[in-house]
Amino acid sequence: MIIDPEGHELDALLARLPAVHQCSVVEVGCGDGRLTRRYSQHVGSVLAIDPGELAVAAFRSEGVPANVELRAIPIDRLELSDESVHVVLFSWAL
Amino acid sequence: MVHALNRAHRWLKPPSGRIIDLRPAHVVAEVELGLPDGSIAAVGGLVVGDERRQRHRAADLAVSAVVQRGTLTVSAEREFPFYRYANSADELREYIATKWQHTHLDAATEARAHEMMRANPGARLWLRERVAIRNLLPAVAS
Repeated sequence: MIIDPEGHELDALLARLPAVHQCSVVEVGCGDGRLTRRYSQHVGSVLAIDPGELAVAAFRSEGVPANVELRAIPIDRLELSDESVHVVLFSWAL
Repeated sequence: MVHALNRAHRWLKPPSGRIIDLRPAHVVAEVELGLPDGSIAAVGGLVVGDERRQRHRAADLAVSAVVQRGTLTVSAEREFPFYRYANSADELREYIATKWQHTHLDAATEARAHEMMRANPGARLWLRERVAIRNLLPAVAS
């Protein structure tokens, strides 16, 4: 399968990121990292989470970009400080 | 889902922190064939189970709820087409079976795709979804 070779998804996402230096992103529902890999080079850091162990294992097996931290955890178990990130991306996850 | 949005809202760093909501705008994805002459032929829609339809509806309701409560506001909302290209109907069926829950390519649509591809050498098979993306910004208290 060839997925979104036109880059419509990436373009739409990049256009919605805030214009801040070293943008920090929490991605909810990263799955196998298909989208994470495409946008991570445009932001400062990504905390990519997914409740699916298999999906996270698939992501890890293909290599995780240096600025991405990957965790197999649902959003209700993720503990973060208030007012600590620039973007929470619900990636096909709501 | 409302709980997840409320948690995410707390994590946002002012003044420009935001939630980005990216997901299908319509619950049914369409199988289509791009013909060599540039025209597009409809093959059929995927079969979507009740659970996926309910989840889709619940996501819309969750966003509406946090907006109505004055927690978040919607901005920069748009839809775009999202394409997945397959070399064959078999590949498309297997991809959907592997990656999607509560959705499948039914036998009649798959057979139609096979036949249409056979009848139109050089045609391109794809799955098209309408996807929506929006920013959810913390509402400013007045």
